[in-house]
Amino acid sequence: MTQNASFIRKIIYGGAIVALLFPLFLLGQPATKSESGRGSPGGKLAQMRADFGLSQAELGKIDPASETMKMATLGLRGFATNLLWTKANAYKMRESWDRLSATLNQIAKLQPNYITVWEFQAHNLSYNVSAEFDDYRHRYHWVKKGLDFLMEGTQYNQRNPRLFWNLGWFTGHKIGISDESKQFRKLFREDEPFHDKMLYIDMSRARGPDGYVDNWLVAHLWYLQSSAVVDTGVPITWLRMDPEKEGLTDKRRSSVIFYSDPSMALIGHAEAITGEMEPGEKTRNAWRRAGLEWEKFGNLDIPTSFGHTVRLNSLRQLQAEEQRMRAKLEELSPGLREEIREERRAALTPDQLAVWENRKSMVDLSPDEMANFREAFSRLTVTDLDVAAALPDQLRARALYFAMRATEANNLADRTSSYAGIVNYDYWKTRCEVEQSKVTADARRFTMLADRAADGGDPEGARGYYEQAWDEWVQIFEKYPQLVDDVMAEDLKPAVFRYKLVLDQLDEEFPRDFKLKMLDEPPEGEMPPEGQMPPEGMLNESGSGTESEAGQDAGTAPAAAGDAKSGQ
Amino acid sequence: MEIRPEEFTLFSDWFGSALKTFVIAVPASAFLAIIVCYVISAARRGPVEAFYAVAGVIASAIGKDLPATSARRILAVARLTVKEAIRRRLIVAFIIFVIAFLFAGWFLDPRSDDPAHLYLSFVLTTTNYLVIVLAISLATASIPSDIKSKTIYTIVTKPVRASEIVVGRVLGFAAVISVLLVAMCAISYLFVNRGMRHEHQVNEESVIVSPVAEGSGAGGGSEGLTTSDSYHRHSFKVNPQGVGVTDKVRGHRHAVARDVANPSSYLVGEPEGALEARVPIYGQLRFLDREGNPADKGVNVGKEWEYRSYIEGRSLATAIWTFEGITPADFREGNLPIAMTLGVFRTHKGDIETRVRGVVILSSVNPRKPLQCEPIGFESQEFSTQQLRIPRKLRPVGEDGATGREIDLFDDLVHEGKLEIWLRCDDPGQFFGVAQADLSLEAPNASFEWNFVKAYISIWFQVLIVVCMGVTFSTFVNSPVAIMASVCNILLGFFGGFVSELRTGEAFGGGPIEATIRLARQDNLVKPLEVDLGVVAVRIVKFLDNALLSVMDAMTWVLPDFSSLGRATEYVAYNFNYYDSLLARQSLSTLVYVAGILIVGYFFLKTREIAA
Repeated sequence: MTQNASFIRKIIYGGAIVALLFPLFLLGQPATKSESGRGSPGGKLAQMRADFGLSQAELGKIDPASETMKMATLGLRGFATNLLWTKANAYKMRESWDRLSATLNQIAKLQPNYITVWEFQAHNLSYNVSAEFDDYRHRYHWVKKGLDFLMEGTQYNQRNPRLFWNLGWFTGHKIGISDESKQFRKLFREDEPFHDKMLYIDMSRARGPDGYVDNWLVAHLWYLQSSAVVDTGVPITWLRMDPEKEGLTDKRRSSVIFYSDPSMALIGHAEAITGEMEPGEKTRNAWRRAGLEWEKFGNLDIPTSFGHTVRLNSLRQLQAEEQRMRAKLEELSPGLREEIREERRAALTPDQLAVWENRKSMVDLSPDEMANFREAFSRLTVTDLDVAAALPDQLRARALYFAMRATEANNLADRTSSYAGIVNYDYWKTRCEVEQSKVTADARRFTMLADRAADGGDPEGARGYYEQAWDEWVQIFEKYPQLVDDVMAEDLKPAVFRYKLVLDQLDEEFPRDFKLKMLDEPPEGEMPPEGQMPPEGMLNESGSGTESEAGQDAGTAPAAAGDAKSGQ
Repeated sequence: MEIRPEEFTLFSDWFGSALKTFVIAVPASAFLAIIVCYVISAARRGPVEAFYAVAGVIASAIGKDLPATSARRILAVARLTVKEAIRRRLIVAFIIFVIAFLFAGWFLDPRSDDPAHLYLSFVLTTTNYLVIVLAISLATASIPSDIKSKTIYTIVTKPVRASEIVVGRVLGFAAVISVLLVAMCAISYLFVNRGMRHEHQVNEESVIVSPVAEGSGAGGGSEGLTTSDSYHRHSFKVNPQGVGVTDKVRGHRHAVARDVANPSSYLVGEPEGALEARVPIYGQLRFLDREGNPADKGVNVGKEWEYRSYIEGRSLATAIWTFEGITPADFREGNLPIAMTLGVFRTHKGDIETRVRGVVILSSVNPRKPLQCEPIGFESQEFSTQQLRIPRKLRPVGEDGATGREIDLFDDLVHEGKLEIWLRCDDPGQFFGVAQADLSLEAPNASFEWNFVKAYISIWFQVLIVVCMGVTFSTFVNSPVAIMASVCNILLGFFGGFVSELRTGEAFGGGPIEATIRLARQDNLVKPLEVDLGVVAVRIVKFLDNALLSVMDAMTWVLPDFSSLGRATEYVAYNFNYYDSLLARQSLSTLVYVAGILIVGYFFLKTREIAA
């Protein structure tokens, strides 16, 4: 009886094993399909791996150590990773940096394709751990550790742009913009063993005008590598460019920033060397190169979250197109827009009219008044389509065509302008243009020579150089008044202050008609009185008249009205 | 490395208090054990018979088994155990160990800043865990397999006493594992040594020779870089005599010498200083606050880890260490060597290129002759051991700040073997972080090899206790249950501190039931459990968890503290000499545990009805 029961139990166990093996086989059968298409595509898992490009060979290198560790955890990889992650946090808290670094390596070997691990811990090393050190050389060492970690990550994830992008960001910003950037840049340029570790990029292209490797140029190459991976069509949800995926991922960055990064790195390089070496042909060349790259970026078709691409350089063209179409519409309907507005004005309720005509500051409006103001604003905004629709039948078809074209151009110009604003496109374009001119190089050179003369105890010489510099700077600010309220002008203020000190030394008065006195004056048109109501005239000709532009809240109403004016 | 002040205690100081505890704990435990046994026996046989049974067992143990214990029979059982062990899993464990070392290079970061630490941690931790696993599997299987295979009948029908079986088994396993540990120790040592070995050449293009001083007749010194090997390079300086040393990178230096045969080339020696056993002498630490008044500790600068306490720069805040037992022998080459591992905290960036500065002041503790030396300045070196050599001849500073005539450090400042060292931070707005072990006097290094062996002795202590546990559990439960029981005890022994933190709420996650619920629900550790479960259910869970954690916490006080036994690994990995007194304390504790567990095992085996 006992023997029989034991036998039956064995049979049941055997049957259960076979029953479980069958679905396992269906799921896990490896693919045997050759390039010619013969063989089996494998089980469900193999097919999914192929569909999503998730097999290790496709993701990056196959590391025996990593594979061994994965196998050795016997399916408890997640558990082991969690444990190591906790340990890494404890090591960080206890300032056991070497153990932290070793533990991170183990985590990375267990989860080599988990991008967030590489990103998070590289940031941890380069930004958090490095800041714990007092000696800037140690800090640099740990910044490099983070970079090393990322570079190792790229070997396992060659088709993922994020790690390449992070390499560009860390190399550019952490080394080039931190408080220790002067020291870091120097250490980086002399760190040849570290340069030798940088796979994928051609270091001969990262040398600055002095022949040394420059961190910004290296960053530029990493960004290009990242863009190159994106351009291969790797399916990514990382960039905010796919409206279908909107909201599905929680970590997205604007595609326009992503595509601007390579040229911004060149601008960073030009800015850095302008401060480090005597301005002249070499610095002008760096700005020229940055300007060309920026122009190239402006001509790129950048994917957007609106479902179409934008080209930043086409903004003026779009605005001209909008104006041309609106002018044609106006030819068909002279004075009609004003008539419509007057009609609508007459139809406003007394409360709406009162709040519209009472030029109260926006911040003083009560909620009811604000609602009335919005309604009045919305009604008094006469769109091109409104004008076209009000025309007689024989003109309406043509008018609608012009109105549609103007509206489309306006919409696209708005999007383009918004994207250009994200990267401050016009400013950097102007800046590159200004900085590559001889006048600016001379202005900077004279300022530098003047500072040196002042430091060297030669006030006479300093005064001469300063005055030569002011002559050059005046030319620049007259040609580009928008730069008066800019970092360029801001950077000049210490020099003006030193000039005053030099004059003091020479017992001379600061000139009343100082050539750069505009630096002390508030720029024209800047900072209008707070909460100023938009003048009624600016509503005369509206562009697209989209709902959002009518102002979603009190703060946006003047800006929206301003946009409407610029649409003219 | 975090050094715990309680580890500084000398064996002689510790022994007195330990003996007191022992004298109270042993009779109390024996009494408690007798009561428990009586209650269990009474439940089975009734109160009177239980009394006779318990008394009989005790009388038999003391009257018969103890005096009649035969070393010959114990050795016979031990020999049998050794044979069994060799037949079973021992070789497999050794093979796993060798394979682990063969492939270890894959997993050890070759770019580590401190490879010696990494290698030492790896070999000692691997050996520790592997041997513990082996000890559990061997010790827990022996007696149950004897019972299962009925071999035990042959043994118990012979005139072999239960005590002899238990002691013989433990001795046999201990012997086998000891031999294994010796082999592992030798292989580990070779592995670490091999891992540290590397060579550099001098990069001749980098060498800059200093011009020869006029009239000196000697050649100029030189400096340069070595080649980059094993992911690092050194810079070096060679004096005019052609002898020099590299800087310290990745925990080691190399001697450099100009080649006599070819003066334009240089020879680089073996790595030095990666494997050493530093012998720090620690003092007692006290603080003065920013106004110069005594304080319990320094400032908390907001770090999560409160190991260090901080003193403010350019204020009267001071960390004062009092050292005792200083003799002229502590001076080397006329200097008093001091080692510091200070933390630095900046409240502003300050001068980026300059490290935070501080001063050290040596002060006499003689109330009749208060005397301090002139402040000795230094620049901080965070996260590394900074060495200061204090010259024996110093200048004193009076209360008015004026310096006096030269004084002798030992004769004038050391009073009855005591000396105070004051530490201040000199930069305003910056802080030094200090712990008791952050400033020490340096005695000459001990032997690294002996220190390495001490770590293995410490592992051996752990294994001995595990073997005793395993054998004891196997006397009354079957093999899988004995394994589980041993593992639970070892885990509690290793993570006693964590259990205590869980109970007090310092660690997140809750007790066993809450943790299980969180695992099943995939909750994180900090989310309040009340959110979905409801208040009543959570109260029940917390109540049960609290009860379970209290029991576990109480057990951690009784069980051997494996985490303390494993501290030798950290000392060796961080290149500190493991205190002999700490090793002696551990050996005595191990002996007591072994004896106690063996007695429990003997009683269990004796009362087990094997023949039934």
